[in-house]
Amino acid sequence: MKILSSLGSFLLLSALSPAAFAQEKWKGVDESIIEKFAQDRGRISTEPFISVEGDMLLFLFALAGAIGGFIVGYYWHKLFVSGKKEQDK
Amino acid sequence: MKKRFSVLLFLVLAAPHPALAMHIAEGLLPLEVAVFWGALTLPFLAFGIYSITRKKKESPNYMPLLGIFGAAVFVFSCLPIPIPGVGATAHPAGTGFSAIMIGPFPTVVVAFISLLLQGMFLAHGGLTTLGANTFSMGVMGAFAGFFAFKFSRLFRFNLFWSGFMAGMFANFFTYLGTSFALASGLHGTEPFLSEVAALFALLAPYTVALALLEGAITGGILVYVNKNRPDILRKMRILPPREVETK
Repeated sequence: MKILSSLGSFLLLSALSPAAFAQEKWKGVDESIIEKFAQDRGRISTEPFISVEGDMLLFLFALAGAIGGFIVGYYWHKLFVSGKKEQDK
Repeated sequence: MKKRFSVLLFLVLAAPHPALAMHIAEGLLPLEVAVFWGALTLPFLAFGIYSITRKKKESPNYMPLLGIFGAAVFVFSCLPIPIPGVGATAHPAGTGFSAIMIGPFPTVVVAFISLLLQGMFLAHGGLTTLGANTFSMGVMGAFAGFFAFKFSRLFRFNLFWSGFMAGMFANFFTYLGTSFALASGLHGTEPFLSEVAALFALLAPYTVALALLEGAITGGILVYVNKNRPDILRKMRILPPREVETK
């Protein structure tokens, strides 16, 4: 549990660190390496199927994280909290 | 402690950052190459769906496990982790722990659904590259993690280190798969394997840091499950009955 807690703290600090918000510096691997690799070989990416930008993209990522987190938490509780209590009875 | 961890986990999962990571973006692969990777992924996907329906009937715990690890794969692959030293972000895949807990074939289905949602709504990956991305994350990641776990158990690694190896290899092979997929479409007149090596060499610094992190998370999850619901590991045949609760 301590390991998981420490990892959670690390992830949180990494995700929320001011450096992580500096868009220019903290580009994703797909942009800084994969797309650059393709570009060097004459291939550029096209617009995504649904082009989402700016705060709308932030909103969708937040929503996806919240829904995903809720599903993980719901089933986690079902198996490891209430499921464990039933098993202990 | 549990409450503190839950709060941390919630904050991490809900932290809104667009994830720009290792998936191949829309349009980067020529159409015939994209179709090839899609066709290669299809049998794994079909057997994954069959495997889920079979396991669902076998165990009442299977659906909650599928819910946890399916959603976790989606969330993990949306989570950009800043890699210190290289100044960029990359995301874990989560297919290592998923392959152990719900099986490698069902993990292909879970990865496919995650990548489909990301490609459609989150401008992450793409629809034409869905087959290639599913093959690297779902097939290569899941099977590498699954076999790494099995081999580690064979060599008598304890549960944490077996999980660690699974997470590490799943991540490593996901990035290797991405290198294969991209090089297959873009190598031109250059030798295919040298292009794979060139791309993987560029991705390696990210892979090392992420693989270690993913290994620790996978090992930690397995130890947690063994402590709290060892019966799941026994019923899902993840560990033989004699080894459950003794690790």
